[in-house]
Amino acid sequence: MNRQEKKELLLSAVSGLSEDNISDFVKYDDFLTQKPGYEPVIRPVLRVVGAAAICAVVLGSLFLGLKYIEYKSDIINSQTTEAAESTEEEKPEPVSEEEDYAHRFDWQYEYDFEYDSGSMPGDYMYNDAMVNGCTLLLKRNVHTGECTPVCTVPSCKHDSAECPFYGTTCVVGIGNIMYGSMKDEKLGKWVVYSYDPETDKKDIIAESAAKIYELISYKYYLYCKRVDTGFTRIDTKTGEFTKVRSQYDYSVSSIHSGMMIWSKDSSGSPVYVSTDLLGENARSYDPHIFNGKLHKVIENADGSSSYAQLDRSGKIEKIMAEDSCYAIPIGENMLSFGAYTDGETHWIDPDDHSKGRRLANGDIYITPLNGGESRLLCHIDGYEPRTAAIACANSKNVMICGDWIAIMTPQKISDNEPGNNNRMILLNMKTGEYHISRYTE
Amino acid sequence: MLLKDEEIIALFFDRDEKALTETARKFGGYLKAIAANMTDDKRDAEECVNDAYLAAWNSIPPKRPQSLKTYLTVLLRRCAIDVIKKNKRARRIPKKLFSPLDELADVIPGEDADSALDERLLTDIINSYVSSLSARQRYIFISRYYVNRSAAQTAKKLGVSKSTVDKELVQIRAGLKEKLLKEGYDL
Repeated sequence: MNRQEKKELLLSAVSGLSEDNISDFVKYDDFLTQKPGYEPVIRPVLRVVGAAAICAVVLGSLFLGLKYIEYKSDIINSQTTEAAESTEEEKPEPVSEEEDYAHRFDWQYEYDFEYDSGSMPGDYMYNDAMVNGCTLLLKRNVHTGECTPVCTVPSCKHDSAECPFYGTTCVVGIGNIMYGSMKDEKLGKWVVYSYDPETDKKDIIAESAAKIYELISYKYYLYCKRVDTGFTRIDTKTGEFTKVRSQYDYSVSSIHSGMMIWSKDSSGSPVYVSTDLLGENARSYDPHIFNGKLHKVIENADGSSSYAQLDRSGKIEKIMAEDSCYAIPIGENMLSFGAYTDGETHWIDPDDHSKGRRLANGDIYITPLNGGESRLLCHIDGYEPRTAAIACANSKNVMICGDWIAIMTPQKISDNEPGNNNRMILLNMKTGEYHISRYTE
Repeated sequence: MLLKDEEIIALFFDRDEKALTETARKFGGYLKAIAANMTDDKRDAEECVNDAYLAAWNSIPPKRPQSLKTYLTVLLRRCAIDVIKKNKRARRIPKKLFSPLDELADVIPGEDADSALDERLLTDIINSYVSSLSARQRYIFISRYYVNRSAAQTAKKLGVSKSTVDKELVQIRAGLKEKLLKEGYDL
């Protein structure tokens, strides 16, 4: 084999690298594109102090002959700077796949049901939704299902930068205040804003050169994820900004019980780790342990699935929901979705079987996680929940209001809704009352 | 505003041609930069990128990629290979795509016919080796030999000097050589 033949062989062989490897590369590439940090919008005095701090850093660094000033100089807040230096990704150990469940309790944390810490009091839920190609910020009355834009500007069409909420990509609540992120066309930057629905007052609290595409609230903390540098935590009481250490290849699935819960999809089954609230001290985590019991969806002999409570040895103690398609914890309860038992094959899309079998029959059960009995909460005809649909209300504290939760409904997206975050089911977890809520012009 | 991956994929599934414009808006710069690394000619680079868009259009659906950027990277590489094959037939062999492989050629078995590797086996070994690398080393390997970035470009991305990347590449190649030896191939 001559050299040219070797190179041709290598050309083909390297081209056959797996998508997993290429995916790792792409993620790392995105991860490395971290340059500027957040620029908090702070009072002039603090700005001067921040600028002085930068000068000190710059001068000191020049003195030492360092060449990497550019990377850090635009980070105003000193704490953000400190943390940014330690954002080297951490590769946590995944949860063991052993079928011996006992080990899982070695690192068990109790779920403390702080699920609604990010919800807002009152009668409304808020979310951004794609409607006719425009991202609108919507509010939904939980008692009626009525869905209207948050913008109160008379005759505003909400389809251009003239609308104060145009392009809002994510929204969460802390106390009475709503927080969102959007591209501010006038500033030419991405911003995080606060909005008080009572006074209709909107303020920018942070600016970013790169896109901010995720907000998560936990107590009075607001976690903002930039597309390049990952999460920064904003203390909404003090205005303090702190960089969060990234967990390479993992994304945050929820924040509760004083922990950030990170997950990555590993061949179809998510792997979880927990860290402290700044992304440090990563360790394995199992999100299915409640009140000291392991909860798990088990396969039945006939191919159906049930939701079961297991003891420490992995022995089934109790079937909590039979023939369950999906089961999700929301607060102190578990919602599960009943399956068809008529022996027929139900397709998600009758014309496209590649999308899989239709599994849920519209029954929604609720099971107290403290070991109480399951009961049928309601039946929503024609509703088949899917994993992505459920996530909306579940872990990120976005769409919860008192006893009400919101669940996305992916059905009928063929009616020209590019996203599926407009149509929602608002469900009362106590009474089973529900509304189908969607915005129509 | 750039659409999210899932929104672009939804457009592909709806057979809405806006999927292509949105893909180009979001990933065009990245793909053009990589294509430029892989080809000698600006027109070839444009052809690769356009072919990658077309391949995405033809394969989504049924394919529903988890990461659109990853999927487009893979498609682009395939399209670049096709362009190379076409150019080879026209005796216009691009040098850019082969030059990084010069470095790698030393680690694979020599003229001994008995130890010659077939393409599939070599792919498996390289895949397995790359998977075993640290995230950083994997990034450097793929950056150099898959998307054809120069050591200097990779160094800039990593915020280190070119010599650091060169040293790491030497280590990575040595590791691959060792892996091939373990698999029974004498060099």
